[in-house]
Amino acid sequence: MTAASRAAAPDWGRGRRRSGGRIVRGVVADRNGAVGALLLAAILALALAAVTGLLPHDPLGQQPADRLTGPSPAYWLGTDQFGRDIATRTFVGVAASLRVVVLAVAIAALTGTLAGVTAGFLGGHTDAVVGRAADVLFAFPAILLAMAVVTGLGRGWVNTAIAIAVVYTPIFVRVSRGPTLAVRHAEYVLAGRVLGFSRRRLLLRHVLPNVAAPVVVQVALSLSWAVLTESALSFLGLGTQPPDPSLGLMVADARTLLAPAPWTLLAPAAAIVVVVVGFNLLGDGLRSALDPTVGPR
Amino acid sequence: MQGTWGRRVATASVALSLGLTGAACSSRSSPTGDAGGQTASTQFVIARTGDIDLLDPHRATAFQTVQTLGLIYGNLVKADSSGKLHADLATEWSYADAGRTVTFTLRQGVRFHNGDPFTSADVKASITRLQDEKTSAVARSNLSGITGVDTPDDHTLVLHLKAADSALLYALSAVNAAVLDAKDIAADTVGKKPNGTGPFSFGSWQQNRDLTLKASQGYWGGAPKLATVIFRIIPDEPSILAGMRAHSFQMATISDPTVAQQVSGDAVTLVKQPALSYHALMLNGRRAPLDKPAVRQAIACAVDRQQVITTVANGDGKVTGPITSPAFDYSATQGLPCTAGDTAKAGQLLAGAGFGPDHPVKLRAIVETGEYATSVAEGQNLQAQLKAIGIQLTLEQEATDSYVKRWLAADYDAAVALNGGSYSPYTMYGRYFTTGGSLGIPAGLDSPDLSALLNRANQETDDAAQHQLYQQVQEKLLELSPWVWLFRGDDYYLLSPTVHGFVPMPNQSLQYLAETSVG
Repeated sequence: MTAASRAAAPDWGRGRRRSGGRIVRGVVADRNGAVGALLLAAILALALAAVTGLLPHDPLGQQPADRLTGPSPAYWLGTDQFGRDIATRTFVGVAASLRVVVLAVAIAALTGTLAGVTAGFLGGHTDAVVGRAADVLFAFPAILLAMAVVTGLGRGWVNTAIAIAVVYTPIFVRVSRGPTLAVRHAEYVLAGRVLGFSRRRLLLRHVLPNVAAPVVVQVALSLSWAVLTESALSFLGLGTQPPDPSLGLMVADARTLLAPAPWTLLAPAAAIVVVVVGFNLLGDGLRSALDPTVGPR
Repeated sequence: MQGTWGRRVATASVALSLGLTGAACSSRSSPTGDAGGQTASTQFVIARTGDIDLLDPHRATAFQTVQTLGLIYGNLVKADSSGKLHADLATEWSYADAGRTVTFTLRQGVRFHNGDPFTSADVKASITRLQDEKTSAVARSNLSGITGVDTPDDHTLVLHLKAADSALLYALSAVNAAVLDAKDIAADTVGKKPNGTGPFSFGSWQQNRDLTLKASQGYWGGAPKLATVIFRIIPDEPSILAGMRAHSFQMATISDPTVAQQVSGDAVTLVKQPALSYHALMLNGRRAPLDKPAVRQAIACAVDRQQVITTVANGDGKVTGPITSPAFDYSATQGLPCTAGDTAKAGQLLAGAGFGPDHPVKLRAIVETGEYATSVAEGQNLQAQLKAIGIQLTLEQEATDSYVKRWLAADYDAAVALNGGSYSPYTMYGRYFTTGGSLGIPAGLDSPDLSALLNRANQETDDAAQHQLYQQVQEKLLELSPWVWLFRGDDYYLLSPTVHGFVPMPNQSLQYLAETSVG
């Protein structure tokens, strides 16, 4: 192929993609997407304020004299058994949870999508091996697999993220492999083959962009599920370790305090709900924005 | 849109509930297990948070293990709920030679659960096994004063001692000094299938699930009224309370004061028993920088014990010194080079030892999870209190078996611990702080002065003089600060209202299950 012919080769994939600006506008135009983005923006702002020390209390600072006091101007969401401010701990816990799940989903999305697209595009033995590996991982209950990985790797936020990534990688394999099977026989891909494009170019510039939409939606949904998984691991003592705040750990600690101090449970539980609902709605908005068959609602 | 929006919120909420509940259930037993429907008068289900870790009574350290094996094995003597010693396998005993010879008359007609008759040879074989270093017996140092064992006949036992030993009978009453079948010892089957002379025989054990005991029909004191006792492992104390309310269990042992304070209504009766056990922060004085007494003393000075009780035990506890027996009621802190909670003095001690903001003390503390509920909370409060004097305490949570392994190997800087107590101070501390003590390495301190003082106190036969010597022991322990003694709490027993005859013991023994009935 000459340089001239390369320049003249049509980029079939690009015409079907949507720009970042259009995606954002599409999400905001969708009511679910807008609410999700708003919820996430609000809780992210509070989490950012907490981790940067803008909130009035130290998340680890114990004030025994103020232990188990209800919500008040001094302690917006009350205090726990050590007199620690629950609001600060909740928002720092949100930040800690997001740190884990963002890393986990990033690893899972990258690994799973590359594996899925490659398997779908190449087919044959590659597809069989990747497909069976994903099936094996799917065979384990998610939380059990995550617990096994954390037990093997040891505790700590990075290991928790890796454990969650292992659980979510096969989801991305499946989500990306299916569309790839359809796209690899699309005319623009066949044209690329005829024009002598390398496999790498075909994969990265023509196949991947055209299977990106479901992957992006899956990222938002996986973030939502991963928050639950991370909270569950912390609840079981396998995630974030005390005294560092974590939503699951706070829920676990609050179990025995539910009757005398219900606020100790309400704040972390509500934060989990807000984050999970936020990511779910955002995923809904992204689907609306990226799927041409679904219009804004 | 309304439908979609509502569905999303509902889905997320249900997912949240299912996710957390499912996660919790994946590693925990249901409080309403199969025994819930089979708890007729023949089955007595006791819920507790932790499982036993082994079946050899001579090597048992975990509370649940000692508690369980104490129902299977017998001892020469046993203590009642007030600490008074009574006959068990020995019906009477007498001293001679200024307390250096003790003769026991053994009970006749007693058989082990496998049918073997109980004789003085079994006691001799048991004591020999306890004194053998290879056994790694917990009580070895408590029986180190025994120089010879004679068995003139099947029902007479004579112990020859180096010197008078005031703690001997208490040491012999401990589960850690249980009488084993000499044949089991010879065949090396101890710890494989328990075979004792106690009121209950071993049934089955499914690790981390349940353990079953059967009433021993041939028990010398009469067969227990409870035909089957099942210990069910429920790692979560609120779930245990819920199970009690649902009549899934007849009894439960819990350790969290917050849960105990939530017991109400007619379905569950709460029994509180002040414990001889004590909460402590053990410091490994064989490791730098804790090998410097000033660093240990700084830690002991910095900790406000009352704050620990308030935050961890919801105020339900009593500040204690090393000796917890009610017969030796000394000041809990006299001997410390400061008042407890004096962070200024603690800072001075640290500075004197060469530590400060530029050169902080960093310690890793092992914290046991599973055996008692307040361990992690204690660790967190101690961490916060020590931070005030610049000590960085990192918590390492361990399950009971790995915690015990690390502690026995002295693989720790500090250990948040709940230790068993005894009516005899020597039985409590001889094994830790006498030279060559069976738990001297993990205890982390080698002090010849303290060892000599403990031995003198144990050999003293005059009560008043012994009282003074043990006071010196307590003050010496506080001065050397090998550990930080924090508080004594209560043990909590949850009972179904239909349970009769159970009496709690300050040492957590469940020996009164032999006299308990339902109905």
